[in-house]
Amino acid sequence: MTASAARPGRSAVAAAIIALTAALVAFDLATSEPINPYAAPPPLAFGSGEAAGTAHCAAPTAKAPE
Amino acid sequence: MRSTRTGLVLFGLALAAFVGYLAGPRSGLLVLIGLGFGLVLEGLRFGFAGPWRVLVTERDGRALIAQLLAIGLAALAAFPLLAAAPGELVGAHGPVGIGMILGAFVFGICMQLVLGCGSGTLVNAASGNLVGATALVTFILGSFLGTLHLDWWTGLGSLPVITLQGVFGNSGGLLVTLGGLALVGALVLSRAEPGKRRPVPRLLLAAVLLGILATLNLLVAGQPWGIVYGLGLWGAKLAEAGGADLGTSTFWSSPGHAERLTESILLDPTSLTNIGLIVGAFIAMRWRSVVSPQVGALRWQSWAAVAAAGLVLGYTARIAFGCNVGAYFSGIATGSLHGWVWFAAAFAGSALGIRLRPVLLRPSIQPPLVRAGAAR
Repeated sequence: MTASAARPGRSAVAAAIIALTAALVAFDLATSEPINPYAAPPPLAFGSGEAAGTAHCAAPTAKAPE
Repeated sequence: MRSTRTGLVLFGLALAAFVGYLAGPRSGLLVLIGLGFGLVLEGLRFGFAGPWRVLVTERDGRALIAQLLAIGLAALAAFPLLAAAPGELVGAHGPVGIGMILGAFVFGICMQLVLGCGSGTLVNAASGNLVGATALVTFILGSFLGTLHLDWWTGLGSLPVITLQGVFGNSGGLLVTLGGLALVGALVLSRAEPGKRRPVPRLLLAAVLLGILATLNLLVAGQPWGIVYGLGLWGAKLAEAGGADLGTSTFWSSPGHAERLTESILLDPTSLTNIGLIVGAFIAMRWRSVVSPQVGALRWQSWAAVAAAGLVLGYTARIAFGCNVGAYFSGIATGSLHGWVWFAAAFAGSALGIRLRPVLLRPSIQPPLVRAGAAR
């Protein structure tokens, strides 16, 4: 048993990924809290005086010892 | 061709301007940085999984040496920056634990099965690789599922977060990091065959550019370059839309993550650089006058294995506190012990994954699987 030999080409797959990404952003904008451009953070975190966020890949969970 | 390339440049710039207009200048800058990551990774064919594989199978250490150089350059900037602005900037500092080590090991296996790691899956998908596209969809699901169980895995046993700055001081931590990278480099050189040791100019350029982009990411976002957090967030948003109640999740009910869940992804640094990376890789792929052929046809069982491996990649990246970018690249570059442990565990898993790859990825027709594009 084999997969279909008529696989989509690279251009078609790449275009589909871009379209899905655009759809994700559109969906997000429609369902998330509206963005307030007047509350936007400064361009650079460095020198901003604002505390760094805690939402990143290595952020420990509540149970992880700090 | 010229009009196509002009259109691609305008597309990238318009995206950054659009995001900047909607969500502020920081978001626009992060999309630009992400575009840079995508252009470098796809345009200069810089990867993570492929170099680990060719060191083992072909005794070719050139690309891995370039990885170490990129991490070292990023560390040279990150250590003093983190010391100068400890409240405004954070490192990729995660805890070492049983779940983290197991996660990194299994991630290493799976990244050889899907021909790409965290960043590599995004780049492969955006450049039209059907294996990468398949894996990306399940990677997002896996990243989300990992957030639901992260607390359980961490509860199996975990050390406190240990940083080299904390143990050796800022200068000492940087020296230990650079010394560690040099030691690994020496091991790679001893393993590599003559003629396969010095990175080619393309890889050296990519390493320098990645070091610069990673530094810019830290300066702008206040946090290091990452991949998996954004993908898990995308999965969580889709799950919520499907009716899931994430209020009971320890992960998504904690303040920082709950805020991300309600806000737009155009305010999440990792999502923004992921989006930029995808578009950057797409632009780099379309920039070429000749598009590479699609990966070879696989048996349906192999496609199922790719989908499963993508799911496990996402899940294990989450429980390991990052993937090759968030844990290995950014963890080591910002002084986290977990970055080094991740590297050791994932490399061991990768060696096993290389053996499993021909067993699980089987062509449906002869000749064997066409390797269109290097694994990342």
